[in-house]
Amino acid sequence: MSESINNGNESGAASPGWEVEIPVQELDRSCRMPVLFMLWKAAGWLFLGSLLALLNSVRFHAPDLLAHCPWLTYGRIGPAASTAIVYGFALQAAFGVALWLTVRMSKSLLVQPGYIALGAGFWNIGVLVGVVGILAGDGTSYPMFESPHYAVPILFVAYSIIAGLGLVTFMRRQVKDLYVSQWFLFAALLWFPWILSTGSLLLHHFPVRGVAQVSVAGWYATGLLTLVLGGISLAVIFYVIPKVLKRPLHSHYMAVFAFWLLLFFGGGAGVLSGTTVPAWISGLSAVMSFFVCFASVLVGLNLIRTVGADLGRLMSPELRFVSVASFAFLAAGVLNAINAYSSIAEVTQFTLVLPALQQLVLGGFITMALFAGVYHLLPRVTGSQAPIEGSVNLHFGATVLGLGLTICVLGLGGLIQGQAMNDPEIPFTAVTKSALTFMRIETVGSLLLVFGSVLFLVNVGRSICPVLCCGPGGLLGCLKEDSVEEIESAPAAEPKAVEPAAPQVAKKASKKVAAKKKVAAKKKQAKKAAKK
Amino acid sequence: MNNGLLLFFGILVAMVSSWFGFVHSPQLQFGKQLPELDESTGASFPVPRSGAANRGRDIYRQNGCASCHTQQVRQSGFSFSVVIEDFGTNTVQLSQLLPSLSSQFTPSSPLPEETPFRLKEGIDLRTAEGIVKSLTEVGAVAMALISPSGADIERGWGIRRTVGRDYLLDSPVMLGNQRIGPDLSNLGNRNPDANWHLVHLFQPRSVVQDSVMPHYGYLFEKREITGAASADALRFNGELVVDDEGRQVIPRTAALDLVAYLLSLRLDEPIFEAPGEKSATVESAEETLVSEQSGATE
Ligand code: HEC
Repeated sequence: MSESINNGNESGAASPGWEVEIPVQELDRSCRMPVLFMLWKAAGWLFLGSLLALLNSVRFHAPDLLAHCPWLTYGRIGPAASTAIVYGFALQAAFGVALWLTVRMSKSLLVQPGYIALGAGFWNIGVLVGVVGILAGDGTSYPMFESPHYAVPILFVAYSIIAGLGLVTFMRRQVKDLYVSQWFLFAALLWFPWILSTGSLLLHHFPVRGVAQVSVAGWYATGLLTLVLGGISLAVIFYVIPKVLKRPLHSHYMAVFAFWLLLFFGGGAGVLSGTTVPAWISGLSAVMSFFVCFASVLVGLNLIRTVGADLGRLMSPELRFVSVASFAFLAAGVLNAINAYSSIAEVTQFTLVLPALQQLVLGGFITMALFAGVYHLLPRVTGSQAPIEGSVNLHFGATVLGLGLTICVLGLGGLIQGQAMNDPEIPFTAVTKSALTFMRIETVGSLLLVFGSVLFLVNVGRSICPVLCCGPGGLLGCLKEDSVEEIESAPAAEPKAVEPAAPQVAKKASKKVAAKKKVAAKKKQAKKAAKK
Repeated sequence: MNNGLLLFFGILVAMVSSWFGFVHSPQLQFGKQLPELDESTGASFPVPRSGAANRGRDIYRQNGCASCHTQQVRQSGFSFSVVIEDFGTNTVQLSQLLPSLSSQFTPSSPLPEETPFRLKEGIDLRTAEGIVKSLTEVGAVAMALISPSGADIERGWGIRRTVGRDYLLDSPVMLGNQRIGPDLSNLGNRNPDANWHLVHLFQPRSVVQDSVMPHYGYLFEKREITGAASADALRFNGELVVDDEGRQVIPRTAALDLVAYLLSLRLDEPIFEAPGEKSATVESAEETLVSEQSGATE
């Protein structure tokens, strides 16, 4: 193994504190190649997925748009868009962010970054095979698990490589204390193969009978959203807020309690309501939604206490993505619990409220948290400037506006549609018409989201390009020591050069860090002097 | 707690318990469920679909019809109705009584010719029993019926709610969760006209104005008309259906299979878990209501 912990020790042996500590730049550099590759691909999938979603939205204005081609029919574009967004973008970006967080918080170098990049490559092949398979008519029709059976093994192998090496990195951690973000990451990384293999076996290869399929598929989708993607998103939130505010989390125990609540109840909340699945499943699921709501409130309170008097900073460039994500998480927890209440569900079932709530979770909470993570790590991992601020502002604005519009319009439309649907005096054509107005307004939201995804692609591309393809720290250059050090000593990287790793360790390690800062500063001065 | 191993076991317990709850238990409940056999007729429920209909289900899946159509029917409760099976001989008293029970009658209106006659619908149990009692007193034979109620059922989407057993023979089960189009559980009953469905699939807007359903023209073959039109070509109300370029339209096997599947969708059989309409006495009806509320019929 070329990059081991010893490597780090050698380069940092200048002061007593360095013997076990690896400088953050080196930590960041160890995950540079695979993480940037994943983020770049993820941004691409997000763009593609949003574009497909826009196409389907436009179809409520012109139903025959591109309808002559079976590959582009409404019922295939929808699942293809959701697969591109969930598997191509969300999961991939989540893995990238999770790897970086793991490295940073365990303070150990990423194990075998080359193999991880290879795994990421497989992952992208798997997603591509899935999306093309769906367009060709091989979709499974299970929401969130639409990829054809032959795409799933590719995803599984790819995931095993990425997560396996991520776990090895985690096991080699230099910091024994676990921060709550690590708990969430660990749970998410274990939960995903568990649901993926169960789903693949019991839905594709040895399909269970009848409605049991619906239950398995619902359990898969809920676990994927709440525990895998939701878990990694919460890890980002719990990491970034204390980090940016430079203060420890208000209550470790509250966070831990919320973690266990989510872990035990999140996997079953909202599996499916309806009269067709056995009543006990919907009942159990509704009870679980209530506990998840409780956990969301706990998380919200904890974060608010952490922010304390700094409420004004919630919309600052470093925190705004995370703030929106946290708010959406809280709102989703509460709204889902309300929606599990049977007299509410009677109205909202089968209506646009469902996609609205899903957008709140997937778009408002998960995507925003992932954006936050990506923008937080980009300048650190690339070692160059942060993305241009104006462009990030625009991305934030377009995305929040697009999400807000989509969620509100669909939610409101769904309520009206549901009321009408429950009144047998209103003919069904009128019910559809009542919803149609809202679906048509929603197109504006989809358009804004496409615009946002383009900006994200540009922002990520602009940061990555100097590192991955051109510039002194190019794809090959980043493996060579000297060229990297040049980037690190560039003035732009300086403010971010040395940081405490995990927020809770910050207190204990603060002395060490102070010492490190001095050392690093001295080193740099010396280097600059040497160059002159 | 900073012990990674303990965390690992905690997560493991959560994974296993949620698996038992949502994967294993439903499987225990449905895995061994068999179609219900009617001993007297030898028919089984659910009725197995034909080969064409089974292939059609695959076309339905491929094209994602479930993203706009559900196949699950809800029921919000029960309603009662009164049916007169025989008017008896005391017609004079009966004609005096009827106007007080239903606004369809005036004291001078004749008795309906056909029996059984549905006198009242959508009333509660006590009212129904009262009416039956007063009718019996004047010598008529009447009974109260209990039937599932709810908007879905009144729209004609089924005579009862759907239950797990309805989907035993289907894989994948496509319940759907969006009703952009109507529920299709009972389509074969509501609209058994195969030709209408073909025309509707070819161009929904030719039969339903302002429909937002996409057209499925690719399930049809377009052929130039040379001489007489083909016998298989799509016709509607006797007229040949043509595409934009004036070519005749011939359904491919996929379209025919899909329509066979659509017509095989029926929700018109009562079933033990969810009975349709049946006669009700106070006791039996109350039993049904109580067991329904506690979810015991599942
Ligand atoms: C974009 C959403 C959408 C998709 C996708 C869709 N439908 Fe529809 N469907 C509708 C709407 C809206 C209606 C009501 C208007 C009409 O009858 O055209 C409808 C009506 C129907 C009807 C008539 C129902 C009745 O009660 O008369 C049938 C049958 C039908 N669809 C079958 C299908 C099949 C089969 C597919 C897949 C090949 C499909 N639909 C795909 C939206 C959709």
